[in-house]
Amino acid sequence: MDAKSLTLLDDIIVAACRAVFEGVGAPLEAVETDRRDTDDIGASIGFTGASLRGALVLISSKRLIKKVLPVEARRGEEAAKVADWMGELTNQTLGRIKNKLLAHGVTLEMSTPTVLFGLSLSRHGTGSSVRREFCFRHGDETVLVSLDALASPGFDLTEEDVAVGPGVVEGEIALF
Amino acid sequence: MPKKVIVIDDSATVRQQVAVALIQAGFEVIEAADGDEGVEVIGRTADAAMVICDVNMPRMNGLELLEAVKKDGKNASLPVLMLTTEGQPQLIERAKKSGAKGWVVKPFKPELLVAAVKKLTTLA
Repeated sequence: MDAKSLTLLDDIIVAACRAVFEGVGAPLEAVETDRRDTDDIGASIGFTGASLRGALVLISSKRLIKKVLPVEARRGEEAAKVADWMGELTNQTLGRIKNKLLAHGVTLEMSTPTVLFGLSLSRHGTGSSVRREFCFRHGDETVLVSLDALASPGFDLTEEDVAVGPGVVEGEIALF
Repeated sequence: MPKKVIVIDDSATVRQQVAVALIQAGFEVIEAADGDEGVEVIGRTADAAMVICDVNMPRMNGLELLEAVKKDGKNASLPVLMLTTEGQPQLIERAKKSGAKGWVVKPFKPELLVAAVKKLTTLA
């Protein structure tokens, strides 16, 4: 991918992650990679398409995900709730990225999330041609989002074409 | 007698969010965690007023569920609303052609979802 495409992709990843966390009451501030020894939770969702295939990984302190659990979901076993919500936040982040990429000529299929718990989780790319990673902070908590993918040779994002964007945008309902 | 809405999503948190909004609006909610379970729940809930269904789920996805459910003539008038992170026009069109009555992209606004459910269950 050329530098222009990577910049576009970076903007899309950052905007998606920030929008998801802002939507659950935890606005994020971009910071340099600054991971600490924390009790972490991570989730990964694979995706595939004609020109791009890989995975999105979201890692956060477990404390932050517990803090942004919806009020309706605070009953029941905590670890399961936090894992479920982390999977859903990752799903919504990749959903936003996927919907935004439609207007740049990319159509992706997503898998379902896998959630991990551990101390100071980190991700290691494995020979991906596209490796983008961003770190954010909300108060004392950190969030890391990374996208690792293999791009087809010569693949670049096209200029934005709003006419081929998502049919319905986040938060909206279309009735038929 | 409250109208029954079947909510199918592999996220228990999303199911609870939807359930709380609908129960507060006077509906009864029955939950299922994936497409397979959803088909089974729809099959044994003859008096369901409506289905709200995610798209990306393990075992059977929401579009496959929609197509399977609508093949059964007795569900022809059962409204199905898709609730998903997907916004791809081709998927929306496939759902529409398969008989879905609407498409919601997460995160949903509870007041809009309740309004849509009220409208669809009144029309059904």
